[in-house]
Amino acid sequence: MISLFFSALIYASLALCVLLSYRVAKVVNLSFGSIFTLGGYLSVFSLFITPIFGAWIGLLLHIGSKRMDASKATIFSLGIAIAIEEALRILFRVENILLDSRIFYFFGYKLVFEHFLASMISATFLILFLAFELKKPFSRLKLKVIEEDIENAELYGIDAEKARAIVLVISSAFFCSIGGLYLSGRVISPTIGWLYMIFSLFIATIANVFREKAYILLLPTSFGVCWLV
Amino acid sequence: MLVSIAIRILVLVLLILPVFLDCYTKLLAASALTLAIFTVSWLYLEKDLGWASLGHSIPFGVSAYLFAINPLLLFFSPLTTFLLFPLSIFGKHTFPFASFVFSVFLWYLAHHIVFEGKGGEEGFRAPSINLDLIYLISVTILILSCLLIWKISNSYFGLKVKAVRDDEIAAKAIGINSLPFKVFGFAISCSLASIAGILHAAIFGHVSPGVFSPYFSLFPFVAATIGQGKIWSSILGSYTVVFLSWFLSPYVPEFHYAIYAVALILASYTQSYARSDRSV
Amino acid sequence: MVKLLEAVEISLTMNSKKILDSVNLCFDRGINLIAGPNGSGKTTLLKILAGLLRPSSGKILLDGLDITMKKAHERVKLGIIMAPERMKLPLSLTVDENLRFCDRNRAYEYFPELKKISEKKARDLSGGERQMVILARAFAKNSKYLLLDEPFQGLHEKIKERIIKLLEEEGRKRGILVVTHDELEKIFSMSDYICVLTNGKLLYAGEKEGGEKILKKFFI
Repeated sequence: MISLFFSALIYASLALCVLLSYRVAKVVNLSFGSIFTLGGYLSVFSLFITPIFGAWIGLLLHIGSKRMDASKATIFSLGIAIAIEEALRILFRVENILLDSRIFYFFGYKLVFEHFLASMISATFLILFLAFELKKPFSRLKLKVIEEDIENAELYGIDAEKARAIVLVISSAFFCSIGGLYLSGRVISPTIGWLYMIFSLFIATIANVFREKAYILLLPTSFGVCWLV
Repeated sequence: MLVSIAIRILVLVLLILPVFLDCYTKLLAASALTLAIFTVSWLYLEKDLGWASLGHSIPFGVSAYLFAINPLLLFFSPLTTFLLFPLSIFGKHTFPFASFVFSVFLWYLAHHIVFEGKGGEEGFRAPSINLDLIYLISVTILILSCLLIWKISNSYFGLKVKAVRDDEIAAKAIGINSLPFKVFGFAISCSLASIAGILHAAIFGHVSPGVFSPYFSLFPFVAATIGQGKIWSSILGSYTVVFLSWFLSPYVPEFHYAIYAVALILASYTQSYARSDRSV
Repeated sequence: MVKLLEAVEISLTMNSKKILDSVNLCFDRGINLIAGPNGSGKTTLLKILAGLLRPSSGKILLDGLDITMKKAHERVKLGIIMAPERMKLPLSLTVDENLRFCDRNRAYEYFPELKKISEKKARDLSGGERQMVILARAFAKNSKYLLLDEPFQGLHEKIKERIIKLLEEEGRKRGILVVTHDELEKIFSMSDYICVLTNGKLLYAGEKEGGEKILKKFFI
């Protein structure tokens, strides 16, 4: 039960990144899976570099696709995903790597420390975003205007391009960091991230049906899906 | 014009030459050939119907699995249309990604397909057919597929299909019921992809979950991008990807993915993607 | 003398079709009417001035400063506000939230009826109410230039009259560019400057008196 709870937290936060990219940056970011895998491979060296690399890829994605429409930007993200995957294959040669992990006990439950840390970071991310969503500061209103129509947002005096860059950088950095933590203790290969990306995309798609309530309902949706699976 | 003729001649040479070469080259050529049929099936869906699928491995892989489990099941392969067609409810702009995500989902699901104690990650053994025979069958099917598509595309029926592609509402206004044309177009494309899948299984005598991997899902898109959407050039594109990948893989692991990445990034900058968008 | 807002040799080609062809315009304070038949490029010109479209060639100058490469949100900061047509409004925001992007109190002063519906989501408003929100936001934001695209769309006669009065008052303080088919005669009589476009080309640009014949011949 406790591992279900932690998984749901992690997937909800990943789905939040997917949803934000889709609604604000107008791209179904298919490179998230490879960024997640990249995090796993980078964690071999240090966990601290994962968000930096993730952020760089997010920025690259933004710069490369900022003049594209949604379909082309998504194709571009798929190209980036495969490029990262291939780069990992070339750099690491050995297809499968077992990542180290630390075990600890939490109220009698045996847990992987890195997974616990990933879920705590995810919980913090979700709580912060939920507060942002419910309190509706002016920046949240700006984000809502961008979500509806970029052209209108520009007429409202909002820098939609900057918001897009921020969303892509933060979400990519987050995916990369969580990848570094959550893949600990597992045998990883360059294609492992696809599963996590598809699962997050699935949760985000279901939550997206609830339109304005999507962000609030991400966590219950994630619980439901994780429980069913 | 001269380039076009040269490409056709080159394709014909590529089709005939392996007959006189060793088994290894013939196997490689047969693999490229099945993937060329696969690309032709994808091109028909994209060019004549306006639906760019990034999950064409669905009919390809499902049919290969059906054939491997029981060769008699190959007659059900046209039904794979009903796996791909429902995704069209997402609309033309989302369909490529919906189909891609579904194919990745099947890729993972295929790891859990077990029948009579076989399958799983190992996959299934498929009935193996003599390489010379299967090569000749593949060449015949490729030529017949091209002829079929050319014939349909230029028929009165094909015109109606294109009218539906260009503007469904306008097509309805002139009395064309779009649904049967869409289903029929999907059925032709999926049936050809299924044949390619079956041939692929028969050539290698084995089917694994890899038939649903992004390698197969994206293959026709990449080949068509290299061939700039023209049928003969795209066949040549298929051969290029297969041969380059085969020869360079010892130096760069899974080299085809490097080609894929470049093709996808370039396609997003040019008009190679969503060619059928021109009149939608 | 430096004019407030200038369009210099503006051309726009889309899909090898010329939408605007070497348009030269100078706008100053007061009401500036842009007229022309459907498809003549009026809205496109407004979009170019607002920064939503980038011209294929030519320059946009604001107080002599070249702002051609500035994006729409940067132009908003420089004082160019556009109220788009077709009731384009963020629908998930309430009226009050929409008005947080301008001086709210001023907006409610201009359109007191919006106070009653301030907590309603824009999605639940009628067409006329939506148009009011768009205009309130545009008028209640400090600007040098106000670009109005079909401002009378879907509005009640009484509100139309109020907007005409508002245009008269605000026209003394800033430059207002109006593209409209409704109330054309009234706006024409108030205008200080008129330009007439046909097929992306400038047919006339200048004082009201000179443009009266052309405008009456074609449109009024």
